[in-house]
Amino acid sequence: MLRMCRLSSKFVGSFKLSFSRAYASVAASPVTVTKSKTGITVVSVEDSAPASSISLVVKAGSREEGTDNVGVAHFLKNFAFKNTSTRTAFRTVRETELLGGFLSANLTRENLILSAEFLRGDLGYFMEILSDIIFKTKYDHHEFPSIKESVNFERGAAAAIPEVTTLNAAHAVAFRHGLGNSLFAGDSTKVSNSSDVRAFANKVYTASNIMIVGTSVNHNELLKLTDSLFQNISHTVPSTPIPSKYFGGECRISTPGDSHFVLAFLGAPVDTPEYAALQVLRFLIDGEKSTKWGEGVNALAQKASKLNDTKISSFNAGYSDAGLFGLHISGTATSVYSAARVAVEQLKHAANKISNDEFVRALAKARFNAAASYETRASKTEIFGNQVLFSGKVSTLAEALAQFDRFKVEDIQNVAAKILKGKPTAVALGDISTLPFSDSLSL
Amino acid sequence: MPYPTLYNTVKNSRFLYGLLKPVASFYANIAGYRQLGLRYDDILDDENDTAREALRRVSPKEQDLRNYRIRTAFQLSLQHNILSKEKWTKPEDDVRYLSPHLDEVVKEEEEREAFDAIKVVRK
Repeated sequence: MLRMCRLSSKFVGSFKLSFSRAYASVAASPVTVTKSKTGITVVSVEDSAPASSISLVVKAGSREEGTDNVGVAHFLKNFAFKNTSTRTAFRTVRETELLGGFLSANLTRENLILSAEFLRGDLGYFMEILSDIIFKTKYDHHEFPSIKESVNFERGAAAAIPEVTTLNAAHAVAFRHGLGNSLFAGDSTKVSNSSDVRAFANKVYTASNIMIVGTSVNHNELLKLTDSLFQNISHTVPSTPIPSKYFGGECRISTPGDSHFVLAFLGAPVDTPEYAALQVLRFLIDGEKSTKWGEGVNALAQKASKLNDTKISSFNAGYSDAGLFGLHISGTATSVYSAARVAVEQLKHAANKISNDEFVRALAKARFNAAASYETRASKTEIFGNQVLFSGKVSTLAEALAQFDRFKVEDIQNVAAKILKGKPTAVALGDISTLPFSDSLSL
Repeated sequence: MPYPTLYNTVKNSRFLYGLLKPVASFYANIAGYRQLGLRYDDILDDENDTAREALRRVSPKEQDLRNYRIRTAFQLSLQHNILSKEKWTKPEDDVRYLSPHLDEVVKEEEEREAFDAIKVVRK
């Protein structure tokens, strides 16, 4: 279930290492943070895993698009690992395959994450690959048609997943511009040639927009490579971003097949106590069960299993200055309607009276979710990338978990009451003649 | 260039260049393609995969102009005719728009063959 829309293109899938750890400790791997001479912050996590990874996190997400270059972030992501002045795209792929590496480019609403996973000795080569994307990509005109094809393919693939479509629409309705920009370049994109992409790249590739996360790499080596490879990084200060504004509203999309309904509210920026409280609320009302069998414990989970074909899951998307909290319900249109009614009831119940049982359960799930997010390389990269780029400091797992210890039942009730006061966002996909509007749900 | 050549020697030597450039210009002017309104790159063989890929990399506008030049030259050739003197291709217009792309494509093909034939040695 897609909690946060992220668009990824993975290139060399020849050899994906799966490392299993026999134990996980809360006292997680040591994190070192240094600001390199070039102005780029370098974070490395010593995982002691046999395979390393480095990621370049750039503030070049779909949020950075303006009205005159809608869709350019998607194109920029697809220009990663293409022809540079040092090596052709073909050579990059072949050499990576020979070294047993894995290159990927991921786009989120606020960041573009260029990653490489490889065996320990190859740090120099892959740092060069990533830095060449920033400085030496040729943006050849003759590559543009094939990149446009891949953009269209990815958009088509995403459009086939209703969860992605509804979440994308929810953001568009809730935030309109900035965070509301679609992750996927649409048919009506304003990008028509590679010079448009080059212009955008020149704007976003500056020292204050970039940071580097490495896992299982030697921090000093990574720092030295950053100093030498990123010497010529531009230091222009990017213009102050337009703060996110929440609007809310309705979106109805008629499609055949299953119906999907997203009910969302203005959430909280990530790394705030309110966000953590919303995480607890999220697991309080979540309709997913943690085991394969049985009915699930809370009211929504039981409703979902009673309706048999329905799936109810909550999400809490946090960005640098706003967030989106809500539920995604899917099934037949009438089931979705009744599930949506129960969901609203549960939210109201959470705003008034939460039993200690429910609170303890939700707290435990929230803590687990936080711990799990510090477990995988991809998730760690995103967390640290966001923290460094948007707030300048890194917080460890221990600090993240400590936040939950401070909560009392009233905190969760207050945050639930707060979100219910705001204007809801509703996206209905499927049989829209049956699906509810947000005001038919007695919010 | 696949064959041994003194191209770079001449280009870098002011004496040799000054000596040979007028001869080369004279040859290009009487070769006949300029009288038909063509550029040198229009004459290159384009019925192979390398040239086709190189042609794909030329902008659509340039491709249209090329097609027009080739058609007028073909018509003139049928009529056993040439253009009037003002319409001959001027030396400054005789730009090599295709050869750089051809060189690029050849290099890429060689790179592919090199990688296909690579011998991997474990460190």
